[in-house]
Order: sequence, then C-alpha cells, then structure tokens
Amino acid sequence: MRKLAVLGIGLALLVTSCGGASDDNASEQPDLAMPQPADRAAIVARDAWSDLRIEGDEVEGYATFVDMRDAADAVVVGAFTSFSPGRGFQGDAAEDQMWYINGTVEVSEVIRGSWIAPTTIEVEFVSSAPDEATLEADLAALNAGIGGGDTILFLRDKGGDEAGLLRLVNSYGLVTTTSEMPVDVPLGEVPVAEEANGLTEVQDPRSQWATLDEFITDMRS
Amino acid sequence: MHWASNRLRCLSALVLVSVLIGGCNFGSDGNVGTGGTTSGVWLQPDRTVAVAYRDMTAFYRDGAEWILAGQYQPTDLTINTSIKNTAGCGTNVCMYDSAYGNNGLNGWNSCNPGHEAGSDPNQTCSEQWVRINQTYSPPRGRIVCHEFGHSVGLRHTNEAASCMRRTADGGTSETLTTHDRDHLNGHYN
Repeated sequence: MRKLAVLGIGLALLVTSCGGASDDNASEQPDLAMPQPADRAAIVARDAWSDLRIEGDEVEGYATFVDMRDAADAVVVGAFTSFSPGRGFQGDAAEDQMWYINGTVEVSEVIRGSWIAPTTIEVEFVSSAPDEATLEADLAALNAGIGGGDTILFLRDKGGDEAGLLRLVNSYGLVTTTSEMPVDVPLGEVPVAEEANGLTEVQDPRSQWATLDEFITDMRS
Repeated sequence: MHWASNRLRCLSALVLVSVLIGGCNFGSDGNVGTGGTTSGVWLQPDRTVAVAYRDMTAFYRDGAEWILAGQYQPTDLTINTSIKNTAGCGTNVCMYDSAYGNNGLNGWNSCNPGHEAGSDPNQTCSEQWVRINQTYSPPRGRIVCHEFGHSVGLRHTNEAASCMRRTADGGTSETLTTHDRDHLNGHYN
C-alpha cells in the first residue's frame, strides 16, 4: 500500500511537471481574490496581450521587482490608449523584415525618471509579424482588446542611435490586472511547475501582491 | 509479486528523481494571436530538420555549424544544413543575424504563420525563424544552442549546465545536458 502511495506521488509530480504550458498556468494560479465586478470594465483578457509576447533570450534579468525598479530608466503608471505601426527593420536577408509596435500610454504617475513628463509616452514592442498584413491584423487585435486598464511599466531608454525610444526592461516589465489575475505579468513567461525556470527568479507578482494598488504602493516606497 | 513490487519502487524512484533533477523543459508553448502570429517554442514535424543559413556572417554561421554538429547531430535528430542566398526561407529552420537594435533580446525564435499543426504542448511548426541580435554580440555557441533548442521543442530550464537556461538568469552554457538530450531523443525517435 505504501509503495502504491509512493508511485502515486511520483506520477502526480510527473504530470504536474510535464503538463502543457496552459495546464501549468491553470494549476499554478494562487487563490487570490479577483477584483470586484465594478472594476472589470478596465480589465483586459490575458490572451489579448499575446501578440506582444516574444519568448526570446532576454538581455536583462533581475532578482526582485525592487531591483528592476532601481535599474530602470523610468517607472510609470498609466493606461494604454492605442497601438500603432512603429519602425520597420530590414535585415540582411530579403525576408528578414521586422517591425516595432508602438504602444501609446497615458501616464498618470511617474514613480522613477523625472525626465518623463506625466503626459503621453510611446513604448516600442518587437513584433513577430513576418509581413505587414499580419502586423495590421495584430494591431487591430491589440486595439480592440487592450485599453483602459491601469498598468505599471518598467522602462529602458534605448540610448545610442535609438536614444529617446523606450522599451520595457524585460518581459516582466509590464504589470497589470488581467482577466486571470489581479496582479499579472501578461508578457512574461509562465513558470513551469517544479522547474524554477527563467523568470521565476523574479518575485512572481501573482503570488506576492493581492491587488495592483498594493504592488504600485510597494514600488513607490 | 516481490519482483513487481521492486519494479514499482524503482519506477517511483526514477520518476521522482527525474522530476527533482530536471523538471520538464520540453513542449511547444507558442502563443497564437488573433492575427495568427506566433512566438515561442514549437516542435519539428519530424526528426529530420533542414536548416538554412540566410545571409549570415561567417562568425555566427561557423558557430551554428559547430553547435549543430556537436550538440544536436549526436541526438536522434538528423540536421541538414545549407547556406541559402536566395530570397525566402522555405525550410524547417532559417537562421538570420543582424543588428536588430536595443530591443532587449539576444535572440528569439518565431514561427511563420500558416506552418503550424496540432496544439500545445505538441504543436509543430515546419518553418521557423531563428534570429540572432548582433547589437548585443551574444556568444555564438550559446545563442545558437539556445535558439535552435526552441525550434526543436526545448523550453527554458534552470539547469546551469544547459544552454536553455536564460542569459538573464545567469545562463552561460553552450551545451545541452543529458536531460535536454533525453527530451529530444524521447520525442524524435
């Protein structure tokens, strides 16, 4: 009987560890109170952010959000109002075309980076669209799906030839409320169960803060 | 009966050990947006993978040759590489290297929409684009090992000895681990 119990535990761990990404996501959601219905109008579905997700090998990594805040060139609170086509890039190969998507953010508070005026800024996102038709479709989806929700952004001024252009510090640099979680990182990699992969080294905001307001308050201090 | 019990005990131990040591860093996690755009990790449709170097610099192309031959060819994958100087990808994996700018990424992998089949975690993509960002001059062996790993189904891992550990988490390896190879051999056999 005891051996069967050991086998059961082993298999349960294996299933937890090797399930698909979406299954892992579902199984890891902490039991946090969701926002009240009155707040839901501004909440964006997590899937709506998917066109801005690029799972690449990122340059910048931080152990905590406080470390990320202190290293960022600017940290702002605001809301996305629109997405538009940004710069295009032509690589050496003819089909190696890349575009940026510009997200316009109405800034309500500057936590760090007094050089940013609390008005409107544009943030560049890498698009994985291989052609302009796909880019247009992605922009339409983003404009239809995202807007209005409070977001905290950890920003980097690109510097050099790209000085004045802003990007997120990394994929954990956009924290907001989504339809799935009160405090979410919709562009970040979802941690895989039983495997401290990548970004789990940053505090997982989904289990550290109950509300976005609490998160923002901590970032102010 | 005793024999069966021992087998059960061994199986349980193996399962537990494999989970504790390596977790599971294999399987597609492509995000399909409304526009059909995907980015992330996909499997190859089959064990034979054609790789085209598209107008790559000799530095990164040589690095790719070295890594594919030394790390991936010894697995159950069969890698066929070529230099392609005509427009268009049209093969399983195309590699590009350019100075894409300060976008925060050493490299990334994407799937050309319309080439996907199946669903996560077993979704395949028969035309994937690996990009290496020369803006950051990532170490060639490491970035090729990492991004090509995504194009055959490997996800990020916490194993320090694996090239699939993210640079942002301190990853410096340019080799696959036994755990990574076991995933590849388990799927592409």
